[in-house]
Amino acid sequence: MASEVENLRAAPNRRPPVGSARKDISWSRIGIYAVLFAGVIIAIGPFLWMISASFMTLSEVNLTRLLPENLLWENYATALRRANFLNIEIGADPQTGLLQSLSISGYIWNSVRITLITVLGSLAVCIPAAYAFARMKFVGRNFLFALFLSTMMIPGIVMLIPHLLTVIWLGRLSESLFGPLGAWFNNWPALTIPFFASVFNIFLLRQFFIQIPLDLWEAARIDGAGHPRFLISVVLPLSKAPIMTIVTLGFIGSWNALMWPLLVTINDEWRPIAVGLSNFVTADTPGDLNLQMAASVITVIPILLLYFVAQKQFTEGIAQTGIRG
Amino acid sequence: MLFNQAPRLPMVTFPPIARALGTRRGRLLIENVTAYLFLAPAGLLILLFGIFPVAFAFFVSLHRWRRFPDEYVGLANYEKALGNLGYILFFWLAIIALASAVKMGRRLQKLLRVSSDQRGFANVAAGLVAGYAALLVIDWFFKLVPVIMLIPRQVRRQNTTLSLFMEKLGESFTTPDVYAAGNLMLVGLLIGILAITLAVWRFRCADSGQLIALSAATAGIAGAGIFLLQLTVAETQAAIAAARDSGEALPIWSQLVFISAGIALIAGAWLIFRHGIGAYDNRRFVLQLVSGLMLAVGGYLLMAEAPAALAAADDDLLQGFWVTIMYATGTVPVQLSIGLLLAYLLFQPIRFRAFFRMVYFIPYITPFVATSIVFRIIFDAGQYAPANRILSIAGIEPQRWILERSTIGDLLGLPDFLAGPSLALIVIMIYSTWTYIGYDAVIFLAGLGNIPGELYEAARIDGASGWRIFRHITLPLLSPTVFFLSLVAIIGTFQAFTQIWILRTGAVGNKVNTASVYIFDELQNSNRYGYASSMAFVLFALILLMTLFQNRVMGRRVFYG
Amino acid sequence: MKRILLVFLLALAPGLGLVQAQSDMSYEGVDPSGQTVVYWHQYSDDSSQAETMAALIEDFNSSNEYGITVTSQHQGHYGTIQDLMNTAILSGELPNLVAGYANAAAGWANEGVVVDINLLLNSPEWGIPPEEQANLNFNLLNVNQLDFPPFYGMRVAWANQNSLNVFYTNLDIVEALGFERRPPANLDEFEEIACAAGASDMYQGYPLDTGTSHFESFVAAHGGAIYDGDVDSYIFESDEVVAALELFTRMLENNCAYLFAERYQNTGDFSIGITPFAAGSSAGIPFITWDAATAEMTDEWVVTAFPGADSVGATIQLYVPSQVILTGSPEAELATWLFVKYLAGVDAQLAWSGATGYFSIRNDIEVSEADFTEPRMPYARFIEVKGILSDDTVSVYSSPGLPSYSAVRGLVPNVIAEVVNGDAAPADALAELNVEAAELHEELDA
Repeated sequence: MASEVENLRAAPNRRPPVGSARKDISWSRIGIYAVLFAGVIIAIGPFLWMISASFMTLSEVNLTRLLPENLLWENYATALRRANFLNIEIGADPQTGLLQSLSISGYIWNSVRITLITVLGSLAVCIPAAYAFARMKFVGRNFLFALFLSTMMIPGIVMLIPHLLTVIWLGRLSESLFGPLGAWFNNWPALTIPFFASVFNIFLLRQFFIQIPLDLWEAARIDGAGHPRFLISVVLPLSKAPIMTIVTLGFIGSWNALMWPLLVTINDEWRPIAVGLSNFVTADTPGDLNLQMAASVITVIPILLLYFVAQKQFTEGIAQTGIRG
Repeated sequence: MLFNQAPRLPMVTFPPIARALGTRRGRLLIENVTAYLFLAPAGLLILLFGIFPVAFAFFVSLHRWRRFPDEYVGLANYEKALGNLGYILFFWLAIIALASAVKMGRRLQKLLRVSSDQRGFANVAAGLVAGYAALLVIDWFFKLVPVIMLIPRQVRRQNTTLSLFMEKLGESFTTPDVYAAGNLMLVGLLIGILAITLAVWRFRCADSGQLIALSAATAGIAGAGIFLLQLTVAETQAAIAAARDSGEALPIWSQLVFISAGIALIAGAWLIFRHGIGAYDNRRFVLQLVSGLMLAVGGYLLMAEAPAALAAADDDLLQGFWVTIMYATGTVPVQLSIGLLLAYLLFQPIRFRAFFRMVYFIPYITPFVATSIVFRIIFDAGQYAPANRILSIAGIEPQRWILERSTIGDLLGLPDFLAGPSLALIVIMIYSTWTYIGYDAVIFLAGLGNIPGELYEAARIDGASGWRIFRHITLPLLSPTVFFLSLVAIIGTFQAFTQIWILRTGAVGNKVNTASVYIFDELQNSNRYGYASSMAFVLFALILLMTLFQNRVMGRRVFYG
Repeated sequence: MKRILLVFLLALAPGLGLVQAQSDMSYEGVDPSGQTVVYWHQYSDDSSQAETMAALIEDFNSSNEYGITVTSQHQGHYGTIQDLMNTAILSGELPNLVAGYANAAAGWANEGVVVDINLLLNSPEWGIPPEEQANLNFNLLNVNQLDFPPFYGMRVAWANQNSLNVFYTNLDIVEALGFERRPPANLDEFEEIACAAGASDMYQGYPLDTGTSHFESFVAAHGGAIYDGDVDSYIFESDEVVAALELFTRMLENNCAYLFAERYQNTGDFSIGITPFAAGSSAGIPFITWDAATAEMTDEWVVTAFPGADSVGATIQLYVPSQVILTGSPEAELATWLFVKYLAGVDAQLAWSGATGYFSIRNDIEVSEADFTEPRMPYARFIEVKGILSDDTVSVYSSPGLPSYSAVRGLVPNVIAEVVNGDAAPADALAELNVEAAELHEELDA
């Protein structure tokens, strides 16, 4: 049993011993590296140019120069100032120098908050549902699972108006119950709650939960554990990598979401960074490409950092769910 | 089978709970209740944000609806979108609903035969009542929603405070129509609950749960089917009568028959052909001949009738579907094969694997707003745009890329039927492929990691070459991943919106507008919600159909080791 | 089920005719004290418009005697504002003042959420007295006065950001191409010079915009329009419209013009001195000036009306982005009007026009060089453009203020693209467009 768990964890480390025995640094290896590096250039070429252009003067961008003559750091200062990306106001007591008040605002901060709520909420909603589908027997399981999956095929365009209506009226209900903090529209619930029940996440987690050996459950039940305890104390610790996968995917999706947040935010209180960037880029006056690039780079950095930190577990997680149709 | 005795709905009072808790049946009941509790948050949200929108869109699509509900127009929006095919689709929908109701009814019959006593019938009766009650709930709901939607109109020129809205919301429940439907619904629900309770309590038998659930579903689906059929027949008759009044013939019925026959023949041909593969020589020949004949006749029927049925359709929508199909066929295979190639190479014993993996993923995590600007610059029409500079190295004339309406076929001087997508659409395809390759590669890489190394070892000992190993071991074992990714990719491309929305230019017009983009334009520019909803609903049906088809055809070949 | 629904919806129908219902509304005796006015605009942060508007709002908030507070919010470009307005109309929670063109305002008015500004303008207690109204430029303001059904003379918006679609000529290039050193006198001359530029090695032809309003400018230059108010229908199949599209097709075919992808790339190319002409909003002058300076382009360029056909003469298209007062409580509507009225005052108009280069809606003020603070636009240019507006020989065109115009203008670029690409003949494509436009007109403008 233990070894099975080990296997589950070690899955992605298995790799075929192709060519490892032979020492020939042959043409094929050179070929492999050539293709891979070509891939690298295509994959991040546009991205690197984005960074390069963010340091250029406007005419350098217009002439599509490869590299700037001088690094114009002030592009970033201007972009940060023009679009309300991040404001941190620290109020320190003049005498003691102690922190009195701290107010953070701006699109980056909004996106961080929205993303965190979305990801945590999604975990809270999807984990139990995936567990139920994977490990429990109940009437209508297959039907419900098929119903859930079929919602993935609905074109987003169908949802737009009904979602708005739902958010508007649920918001009013909740506002009348909980006061202004309970508002949905132009507040975090409209930006996050519709994304909690991600069918994709449920599906991914279910695929992983199914593989957890039955013996573990039998053992836990003999110890008197029910499903909730088994889920929390056995399944979750085993599922770090898949959870990391859906966290990363959730972060990316939430950080880059544009259309919906654009429709449900009417001021900067909760407006996320993708909308801010879009407003900055598509203003009704001619924009400056170099500043747009700087703004784009600012937008990408946080998500890039996250992926950098999470990428190992992210990949492992995908492997462990052993995605199957 | 035993756990089916538990009631379908956790809130139903179930008297024997207390004494049954210790038994096996009791444990199963607890399991059911726990499962539904686990599912409750996700289920509720999916009901709100997944299922309600579809039902609502369908409801809207039956109306003239400009921001707010206007008059009921039946299938007029579908007719506008698809011509006569709109009616035909609804016939099929009704028939599918009725057929599945019949199928469920027969399963019910079988179950009844097994239980073979009065108790079974009592359960079925309870289920039917509950199913009817569910229809009443839907009826009430869709009477209520338009009233609620109209509230913003009633509060104009008033101080729009929350309490005003809530007051109006309360009032909307007592609008005569809603009120009547609501009462009916409450009575129906009450009777339904009573009937189920009674059935479970007094007439419990081995299959109670299943019987009730199945008969409720049968009643619901049969009701929906009858509604659809009656709606379609009435609408079709009205359309034909209207056409006759203006001195034209509207051959919807004959088109329905011929197109259905055409599709049935083609489907039959495929079935017979597949059947023939396993048969002996002589029979195989006959079967193949029959299948070929059926294919020819079916194809002829479709070719002859479909254009006429689509004659009155919205050209822009058809163009949108065509663009969507080109977009999907142009991106999905390319994206998957390059992704697989990169993953396979990455899987070889090489250095910097983590670096490559990281880098390939970057396009996927960068927001569209940012990367689209760069792509617009690369594929600019100017002589000095990067793409044109690369072309000039190869001595090719500069192209207009995202401004080019002409198809590659036109540019290469090919005949019309080889025209293919416009150059602008190809740029968007490149963009989309570029975005998703890394994502596919990372998932493929994970899939490759799951293939046991011993298999490779064994193949190598047998002296298999690299290609043969890939073809006969890697690919089959990777088929679940391929299947998954292609499913996700196809669903994604059929819903494709953002990539096109931000890379399209006025100069290429509808040559790059996928169905989603066209529908969004309709929604945003003219606010014709009813019409847009009908088109979106057709798109949904198409995606669902594609997915089912893919599941059938491709799912069969997936190898689950 | 459906029949019940039908009856029910019909029963509701009388409640829907809200547009006329409010004309008997009066604001006498309404108290605007202490109201908060929410204003959605499209001025991107850091622009001179945003800064000036913010300053004016601050001044109004601190100086008005009723304690009215205006709060403004940047909502992206007009498209975004339209999206947000759709949502707001669905939810019923509207801002009080919103930026938009006449056609957008007409669409909202169709939903009954727009206040008829005439009621406020002519109110004895709160309006602008007739003797002072004489100082207002009603040529500009009446772009928002919809004199056709179902609006019947409703003033759906208030002009505040008046500019012109103007024609730019680079005199040095014109001269270098061997022509007289002046802007083209008519369309033939325009085409000739553009073709010469296209044929030269140094320059490109005319940067041709496939957008609807640019096309309308050329329709107007042929003496036509896309909509005829007298017969209440779109007239895309009329000779002038066909002629304009044929001009486009011909110029592209003969390499006298080229298409471009990025917004504002036409004026961008003009500002770096590679095209002899460009067309664009006069609000773009600061950007051309700025870009030309950055690129060290020293050619002399001038701003004029569009060259027209010989029988027509010079034409100009008015761009009048406006402010729309939306329905709220009468108190809120009145408070919003008081802010709009404040903006129409002499001081505010001087500050606004001087800082942004937009024309004033007042005839009685003259923005002096000292008042003109827009940093990127020379005062001389401002006067130059103003000269066009006050030139009586120039005929003035403005887009139809119909709700359906938003939808129709979405169809036009595709037709232009189709035709200039050779996929359809101009007359055929336009006839087809006319059918579609008529359908939209019937459905959306009723």
